[in-house]
Amino acid sequence: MLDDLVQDVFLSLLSGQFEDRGPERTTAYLRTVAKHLFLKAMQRARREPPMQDLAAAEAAWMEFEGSDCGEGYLAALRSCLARLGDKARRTLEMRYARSLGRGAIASELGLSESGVKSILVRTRSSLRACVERRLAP
Amino acid sequence: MTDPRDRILDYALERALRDEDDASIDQAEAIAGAWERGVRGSVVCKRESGTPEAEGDPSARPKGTNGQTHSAPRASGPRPVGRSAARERSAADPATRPAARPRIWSGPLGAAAAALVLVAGGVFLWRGAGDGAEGEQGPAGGPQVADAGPGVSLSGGSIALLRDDRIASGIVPAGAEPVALEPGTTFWVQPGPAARLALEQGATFDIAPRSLARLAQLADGSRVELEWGEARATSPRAARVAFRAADVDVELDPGAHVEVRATFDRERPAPTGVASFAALAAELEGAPLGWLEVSVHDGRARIAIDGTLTVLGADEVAYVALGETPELVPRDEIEELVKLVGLFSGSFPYPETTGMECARRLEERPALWIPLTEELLASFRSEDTPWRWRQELIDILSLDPRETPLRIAREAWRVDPRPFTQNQIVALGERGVYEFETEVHATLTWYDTAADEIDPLPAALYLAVRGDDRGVEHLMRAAAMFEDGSSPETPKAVGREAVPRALASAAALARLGNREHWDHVRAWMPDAFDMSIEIGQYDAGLGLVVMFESIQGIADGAQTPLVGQLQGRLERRIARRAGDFENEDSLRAHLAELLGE
Repeated sequence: MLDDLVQDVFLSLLSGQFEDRGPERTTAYLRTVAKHLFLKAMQRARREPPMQDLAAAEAAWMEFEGSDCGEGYLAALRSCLARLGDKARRTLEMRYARSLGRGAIASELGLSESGVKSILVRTRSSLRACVERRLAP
Repeated sequence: MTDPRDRILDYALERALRDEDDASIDQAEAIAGAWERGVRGSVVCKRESGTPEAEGDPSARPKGTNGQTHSAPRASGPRPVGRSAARERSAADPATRPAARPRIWSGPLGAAAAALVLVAGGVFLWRGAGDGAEGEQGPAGGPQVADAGPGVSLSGGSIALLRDDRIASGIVPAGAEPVALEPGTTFWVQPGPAARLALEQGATFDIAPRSLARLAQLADGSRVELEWGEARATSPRAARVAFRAADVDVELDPGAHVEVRATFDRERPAPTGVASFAALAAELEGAPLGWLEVSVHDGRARIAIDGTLTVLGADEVAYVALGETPELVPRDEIEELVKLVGLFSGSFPYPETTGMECARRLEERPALWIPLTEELLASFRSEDTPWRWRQELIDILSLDPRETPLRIAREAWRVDPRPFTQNQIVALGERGVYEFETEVHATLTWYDTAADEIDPLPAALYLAVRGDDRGVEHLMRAAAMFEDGSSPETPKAVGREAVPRALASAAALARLGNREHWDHVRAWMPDAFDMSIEIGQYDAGLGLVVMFESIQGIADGAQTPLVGQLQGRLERRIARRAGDFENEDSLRAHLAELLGE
């Protein structure tokens, strides 16, 4: 559904008279269009739109983007990644850079699938804490 | 609930763990290719185990446009749906498949395309026609004349032909040999190069892309009728030429050169084949609201409307409002209105009378929406334009039933949704515009508690009459104010601004089959009226009676409520009916009659 939604956002943009007012306003505009199309899809599927989720997602994204399109967050993340152990780093690379599934990762690392899941959960949790500490005012 | 910060971390990890340039894999080419084939872009984006990528072998992946790897589009995928399916069907149907046509863009690509079509058939490219945002403008430059064949011939652009509701020749591709036309043929010039129509007398008509025209047969020869779009007409030195532009007759003196533009109040047409442009031609025969511009570049021309002739000299322009009765509109009137709209930008304090004047003129002559579209949008986009004018403009737009105001309203929403009030959003939602319907749903979700600063009653009304439970629930809370601690003997002192709200809620619920609240309203009305008169509030009493009179029809199911327009209509009705009652006794008698007493 997400890929279709993205496509519909850009179709909507191309079919209208979009005026580029800079990256920040453009991304805000695109998110607004996406939100409306998402709500419409929920309505068609007769599902209650999770408004709290949308509001929280929007707030989290604004926090990530900040005033530098997220570059500050990425810089903090890279320095946290540099402190990871080898196994954790390789697991993340296979998952995020090569989009391998848990089975393929487990096979490559000689682990069980539950072991891979455990590494991913713990590593992401510690990375998130590391990034948030670095970005805290 | 999933923590969005975890999702953001996932996104950031993807970016960080690929190279900086790999951060967002460019799938534009693959997705565009998918669209052309009528397949959803999601087919391209999906990655599954079993593909080379999943096996972790980078060398097995195909390269993208920037050297990055991506999934190859699958040869077969999920069955396309919606818009994608329509395009796939259209592409497969030979009757509707558009002929290959060069896209005319400005710049180097446009110059290359121009060279191709010039070599192919000596046709010329339309300069400044159509919608620049769609890239249909050709490079600047004068026309290159195509050789006119014998009789009436048509050449140049890609043309769809229709004769007597049947397909005559289907689609003639751009640059083909001139086609001989028979009278009674309607033709549509598709996006791309212009087409040239050459008449027996030596007159030429250059018809712009996205134009619809017809060749009629008269006793003294052929006549061209421009139904939609733009045309340039040139008469030979030895003869006059007459043609019709959207039901208005235009006659050229010998050697004259005239440009006409006909636009109608409907969505910009984009027929995909002869069937749809036949439907367009049929619709235009009903004389919808439209606008005609006639510009004389050289020589002289006469415009005849209902037997009245207007003569135009070189460099003169005439405007005609089209519809049931075409009407010449003085150029001064257009220029004055353009100036009025321009006054809003940067004006402080808000020019009240200017706003009212603009609104009045647009209501009196709705064809003016068409030539003023760009001015109004520019006014809305300008950061110097007062908020008040934006809201006034949206007010007029949301209440006008025509297509052009609706298009302007949608564009205004994209520019800045903040000035839109709830009533305006509901009024536009009631016309089936999806972005406003969505906003109505969201409004009730976001502002449905008593503590919220926004009263979502219009949204609740809109949803309730469509059977939405949330809307009904909200109305019941609003209507309950008549019952809380009150009885017919001691009517609750209802706040004045809350009365219309509560009345409308009770009426809507009655319409849905729950008459309990409306019965309370009926019982409450006489004493509420008496109380207003006792405290010297005659206007309040008048408002109560007229509101009840208006809304009663909704409760009884005799009227379909147009929620977005309800408040405005009530206010206007109260003002109109004020003169119908001499005093409170006549009001009281009327109320008794309404209550059936």
